[in-house]
Amino acid sequence: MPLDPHPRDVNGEKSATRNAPRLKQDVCQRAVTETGHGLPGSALRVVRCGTARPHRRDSVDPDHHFTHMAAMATQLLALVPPQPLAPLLHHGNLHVTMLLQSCSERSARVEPGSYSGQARAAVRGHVGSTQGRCGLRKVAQHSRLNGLPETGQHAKKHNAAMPFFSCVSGCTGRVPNRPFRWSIAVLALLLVACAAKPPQPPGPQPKADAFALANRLSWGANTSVVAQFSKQGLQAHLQSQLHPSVRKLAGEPQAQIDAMTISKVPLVDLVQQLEQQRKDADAMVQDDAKKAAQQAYQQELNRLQREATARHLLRALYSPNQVQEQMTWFWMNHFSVHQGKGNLRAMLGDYEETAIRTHALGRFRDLLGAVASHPAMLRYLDNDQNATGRINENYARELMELHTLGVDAGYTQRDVQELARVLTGVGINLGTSNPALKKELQPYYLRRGLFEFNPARHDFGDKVLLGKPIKGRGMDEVNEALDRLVAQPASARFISRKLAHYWVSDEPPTALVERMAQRFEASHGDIAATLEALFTAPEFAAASGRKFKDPMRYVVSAVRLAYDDKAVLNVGPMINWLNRMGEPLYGRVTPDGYPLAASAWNSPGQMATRFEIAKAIGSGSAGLFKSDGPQSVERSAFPQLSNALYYQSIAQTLSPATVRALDQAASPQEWNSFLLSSPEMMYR
Amino acid sequence: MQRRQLLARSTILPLAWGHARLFAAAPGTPRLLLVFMRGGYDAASLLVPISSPFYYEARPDIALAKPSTDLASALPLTADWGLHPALRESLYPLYQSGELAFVPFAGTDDLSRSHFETQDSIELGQPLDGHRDYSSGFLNRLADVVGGSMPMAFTDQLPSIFRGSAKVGNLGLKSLAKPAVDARQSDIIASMYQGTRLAASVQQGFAVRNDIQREMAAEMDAASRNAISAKGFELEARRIGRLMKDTHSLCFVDVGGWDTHVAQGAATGYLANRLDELGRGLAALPQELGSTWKNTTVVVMSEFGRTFRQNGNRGTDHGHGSVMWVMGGAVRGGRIAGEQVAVTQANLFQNRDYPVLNEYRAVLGGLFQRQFGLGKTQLASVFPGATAKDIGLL
Repeated sequence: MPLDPHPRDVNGEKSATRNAPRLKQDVCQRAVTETGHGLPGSALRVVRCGTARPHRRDSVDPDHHFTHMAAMATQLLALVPPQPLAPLLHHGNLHVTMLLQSCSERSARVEPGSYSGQARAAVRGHVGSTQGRCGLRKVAQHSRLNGLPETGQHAKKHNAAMPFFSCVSGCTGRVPNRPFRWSIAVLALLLVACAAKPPQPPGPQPKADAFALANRLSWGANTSVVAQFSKQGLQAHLQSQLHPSVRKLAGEPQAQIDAMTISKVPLVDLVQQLEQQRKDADAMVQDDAKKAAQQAYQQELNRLQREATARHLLRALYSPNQVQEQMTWFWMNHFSVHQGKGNLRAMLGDYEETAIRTHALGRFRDLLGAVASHPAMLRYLDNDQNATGRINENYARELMELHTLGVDAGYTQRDVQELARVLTGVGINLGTSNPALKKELQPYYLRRGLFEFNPARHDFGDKVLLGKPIKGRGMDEVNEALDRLVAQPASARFISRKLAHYWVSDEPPTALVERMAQRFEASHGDIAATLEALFTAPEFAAASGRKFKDPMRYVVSAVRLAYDDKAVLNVGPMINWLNRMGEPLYGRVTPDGYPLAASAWNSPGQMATRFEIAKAIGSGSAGLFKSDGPQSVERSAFPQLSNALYYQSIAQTLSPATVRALDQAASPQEWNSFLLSSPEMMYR
Repeated sequence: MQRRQLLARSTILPLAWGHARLFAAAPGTPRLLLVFMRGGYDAASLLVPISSPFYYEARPDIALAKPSTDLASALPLTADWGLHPALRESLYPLYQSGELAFVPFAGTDDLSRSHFETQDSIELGQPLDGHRDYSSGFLNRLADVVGGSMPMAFTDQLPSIFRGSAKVGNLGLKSLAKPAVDARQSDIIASMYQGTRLAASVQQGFAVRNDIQREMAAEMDAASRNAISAKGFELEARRIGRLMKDTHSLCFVDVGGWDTHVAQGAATGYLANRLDELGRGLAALPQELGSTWKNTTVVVMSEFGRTFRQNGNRGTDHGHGSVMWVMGGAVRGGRIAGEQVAVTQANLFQNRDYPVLNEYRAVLGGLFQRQFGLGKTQLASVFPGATAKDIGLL
């Protein structure tokens, strides 16, 4: 990645270059070669290190410090070819990015063209590998240059900085003072991290980067998606994912989806047919017949739920729009409903397809509006019961607490009550006719499919929500209330934090969340824009390989890795695994959705179950290639995990312990099981 | 793999997860098992209002007959109440020996009459209005307050009642299948995790699995010696009893199949069979717990009772007030506890269900107060917004 060797700071001046200290080239070279690793000579020729006196001896200007460091970092990174940096240890690149991050928080806004910006960009560009190993210890062993005296606290802490300090002392003949030592130490880390190459051949690294990124941006890396990634490059790939064209799945999976009732029958017809079936069953008098009819009704609901589940899983496995599918899962979990309530099982497919997936990358306000008018949500949180004189606050409360503002946003119980009043009359009509209304109310009536706004059930009084009035006037109040909720800064932060929690870390960095929230607000709640801010952030890059996979991700990524494009015939086994691991789709009873944190999924019992499932997936086709039904089709299949992708991209990221374990495998099945049980497979 | 080797390899184990038999609840520790009957069982068939003429009017086809020599009639408990005859061999003796009490007109103020919602609101144990924290169940808060209890949910998933900051494991005991991952493979897998964040969790998972293996081997051994083998809930309960005796002192299990809308039966039939199975399991607990029974309390509850009148299909529908069962070595049993009213039409709730006069948080609060010696603040953290009521169960 070419960097401008004379970048400009915020004032447009080349001040940093002018004052950037220099070090004699031969001293640096010796320092590096004596560590036992070598940098290409051309890189060394221009390395400049901090040795000049600080501008102010007694007080150190942090901005100057920062500029100096950034300058040196940039030059360093500019001159080191990308490849040796690729397997940088976590520590190395993490330190750099976190350092730059913390410095940028203190100093003025960082211009992309400035040293800090370029340095950050450079690190970002080089990051992407998972687990390289730095020979810091090796370096420390070799660092006894010139028999120089200890240079103080910082040097002691950073053993690897010894060669650097000795360069420094060797050049200037003076011991660097403390603040300077701090900046030198950091740079030393940089240099050493660059210099210390883990024992890997240079060739495969670009593939390892693509693999790691593909693994995080998709439901799980496989040969196809990594190839696509390498071909497109990160930027183009991101754009195509964040602004997907409507694409169907290829071949059989799409055929399976097209054959489903939920794909063919509109929601209104489906639910009305089922209502009729239910009424007929309830009307039966004879015990046995009634029991049987009621069971048949329940079975039909179960079948429809299974269709929705299967469609979701097929898309996770095979859709080219992987970010959209992951965001569909995310929003289904955010606007969670439970399949067991009433006849929700019949509505799941339509809820997911029309309310959630359509808007998953669009505007949050549109998504919220679609959810707030979908019968599945209105039934699940009882807003269909909410009427003037018989208020039900359930949806109003969760709308603020779980869906938009978050519990700590500072809204009051009064706000909940007022929002509940706004939402009166927002409900469902499962029948074929509309209610008879008084003449003056008729203009306010709305019916869209199963959704109904019934003015006879609505409280038309004026309300006060979050300190501002809402004039009573029907459905428009609801739209105004939703607008107001989304426009709150608390909503931007709440949504951004949850997105960062899902994609980056259980404790997402505050600065990242803030930037995302700003982007959310500036873009009027555009989800794709907010995600772009997330995916291009250094914090995203730095978090590679550290997010524990929840059961859904674990199962889907394992199947994707094992079979790639070979389409499964039966997602039943996956449904069973998800059940065993406690995260069935649409199965969360409470409206808060499944937790996103590792602690919810890595208990002893859960880890033991995971290993059982790893064995199930690794040992054979596990029933994935045997279709259900009277004319069952069976295809031969074997989870080929030791494939080209493994050797190119995964093998070098494994720890010695994992490699030793794999070496003990007594069969290909066992090898697969060990790989799927490894710590590396538990994170993305 | 020998336990010693396992322990030798694991240098520092976070106490948060503890270790079966390495850190077990001390023998004298009070033990609690909460059994949740999911589906809203018909309380009026369990604790029969034998002195109420209205009962027999309301349930012409499904009422239990007043106590008599007929084996199908209710078992006499008090002048007003009888016990379902299916419990003759299992729980009736415990009532007679003073180790079992019943609390009628018990339940929650949640009026949704919805299985999921009422179960949830009960399990979370929080006030019904205002903000509800879905990640905090009352047994988890109790585990926090009691400490050292090695809490365990004997369920396939962690239930809401145990959600929270205290680490709680879960272990379904209904069917102990032989694990697919064998001992050699688990050793190799565990070796991959040495020195990683998940090392302790992985090791504990395998350790518990080994305990289960031992358990199953002992059961098979007993079966091969032609000891009477239990099945169904009794088998599960015996396993729970053994694990509670050795290790876990704060436990939960649930039992389903109580939603009897159609043809529930009376002295015999579907409901009678379910009660029989449940009773056998509960009666097995004192046998398995042995000397620990005197420190143990078992609470059995459900999300709601059912409609007092039978419906058009000789079943019953979702109701309100229910009956809690409280048994244990130290329980002041052989009585019907808590606030009661005569069972008449006038006293029905909304002219359809039993009323709730003994709110579950008040009852459990009063019980926990005595069982675990909890102070006011501690009780308030377990059941915020509720006032404990001691109805003399312990």
